[in-house]
Amino acid sequence: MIRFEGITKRYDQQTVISDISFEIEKGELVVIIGSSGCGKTTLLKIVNRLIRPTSGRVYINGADTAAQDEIELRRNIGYVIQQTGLFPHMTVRENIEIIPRLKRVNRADVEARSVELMRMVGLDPAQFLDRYPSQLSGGQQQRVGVARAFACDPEVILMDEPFSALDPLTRVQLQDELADLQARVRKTIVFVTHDMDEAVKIADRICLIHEGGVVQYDTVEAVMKYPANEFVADFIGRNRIWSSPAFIRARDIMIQTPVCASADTTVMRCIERMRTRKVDSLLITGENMRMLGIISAREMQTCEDRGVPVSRVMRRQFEKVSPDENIVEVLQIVNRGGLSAVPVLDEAGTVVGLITRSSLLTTLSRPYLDETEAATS
Amino acid sequence: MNLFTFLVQSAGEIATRLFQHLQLTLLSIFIATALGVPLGVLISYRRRMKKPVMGVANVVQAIPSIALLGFLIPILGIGEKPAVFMVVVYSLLPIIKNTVTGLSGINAETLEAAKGIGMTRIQVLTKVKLPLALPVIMAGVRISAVTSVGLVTLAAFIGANGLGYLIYSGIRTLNDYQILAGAVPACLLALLMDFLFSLVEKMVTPACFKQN
Repeated sequence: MIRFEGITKRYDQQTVISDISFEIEKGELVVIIGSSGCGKTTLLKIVNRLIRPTSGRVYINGADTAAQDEIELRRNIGYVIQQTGLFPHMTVRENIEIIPRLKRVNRADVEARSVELMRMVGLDPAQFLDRYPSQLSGGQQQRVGVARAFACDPEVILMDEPFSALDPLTRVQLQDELADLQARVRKTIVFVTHDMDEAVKIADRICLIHEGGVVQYDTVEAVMKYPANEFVADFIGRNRIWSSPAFIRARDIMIQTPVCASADTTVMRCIERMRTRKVDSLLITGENMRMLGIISAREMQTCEDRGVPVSRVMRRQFEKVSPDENIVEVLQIVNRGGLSAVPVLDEAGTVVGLITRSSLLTTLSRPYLDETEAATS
Repeated sequence: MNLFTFLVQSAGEIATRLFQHLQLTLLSIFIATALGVPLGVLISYRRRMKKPVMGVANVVQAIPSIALLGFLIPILGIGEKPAVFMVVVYSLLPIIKNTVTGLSGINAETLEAAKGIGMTRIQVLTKVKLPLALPVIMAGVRISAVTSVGLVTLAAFIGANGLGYLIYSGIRTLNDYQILAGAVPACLLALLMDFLFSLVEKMVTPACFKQN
């Protein structure tokens, strides 16, 4: 959808952006993030040609933006900046309708669209359309800013730190609403911020920029779990993931090589295996590691004939989780069933891992232990 | 004969002179605005022109008005033409200055937003810059309008009409009443101009600034 190709921007001798190339997929919300002065706003403004790159090209839908009429290009790209972006001498209605009117869109259509847009951003059209920006709160002004960006129903919307001047409560509220809105309309949104919490909240992908280059461009989850280098890890904060438990998945915390036994192993051998491996339950598998049942040490102790295959005595009904379930769901399952362990199975029913109470404890204690380490070192 | 009877007797002439005076003033203000605002806009776009244009306007302002009128006689002759020219030249500076100030006082982010959402340069100027700068520009026009009333009285020295004629002939004939018959209406006219232009200024101020 939007492809950056070798974008470089130099002012005199100072290089602000050096050779950035990446592609933004249609319908994704990509957050460009970095500390101030890293070139993120410059990169955004290169998209709608407010800034001309020293070299490199930006393609939107395969078309080179440099070859297009810049006025036409900008009218087809929504643009939201901090609240000063609204025209103070125009009413909310005039602000929203300015570009459609300049494009000479049918008057009735424009008016209907304004009402629709106001509802979309959660403002009562009757109450707010004829007010001036100065009569609105910061949050309301920003909603109008978003409404204006959607006026011509653009495919691409650029947002330059739109919420940074708002109070924390309003900011969080608008972030949530933007995420909801994006889930409905699926526009291609490029969002610049320096706030990692904001990025985690709204982004599909994060593009982390440092000293004019892309350090990491990946999904939010991947950036948090697999930071490309020390800088990324520091920037996002090492314990960041703990504030978004939805990103901690079963596959991240499971024991990857659980102790298993095939269905025709005798109970005797199973007990032996548990003893040597120091575990209190065994996963019983069939062909290709397909999970058939589970058996605990206590259940085997009560078994009288220890020569029979374990498949006769194992439990065939058991709780399980998929690798993509998050830690909250796993905890719920473990607590509900009072389980000591829960197997992780893929769609085919193959054993991929095991989560035990002790592996959960290890995982959950990590942020606190990390902190103590950091404090003592 | 006292002042009152003199005024009653010459009411007709005073009215005619007053009307001529008003005409000359308005014409000059109109021309000065028509020249000054575009010049101010031009300077705001072409920074390099700011110094020469403002320099010339400042120097002109510094020339004594009577002297300027004298210089104009060989070029424009006598009568209303050089008079209007003189008043226009003196009115330009406040208008140009205020236009530049008004335009440069606009929030840069507002202008970037205007550009970013796809307005052409002309649209940015007419839809955003000028409406936002208009109160400041009008304040300049108002200053010019008030000083013009006074300047137009000087025009009588080179044969133009207006209230200056009464004052000038009053001085020549040592007739204090006649001087007052010219000076008092001129003074009132200046106050009236100030009042009228203050209304215009309010009218063009965007609603958002009035409420604050």
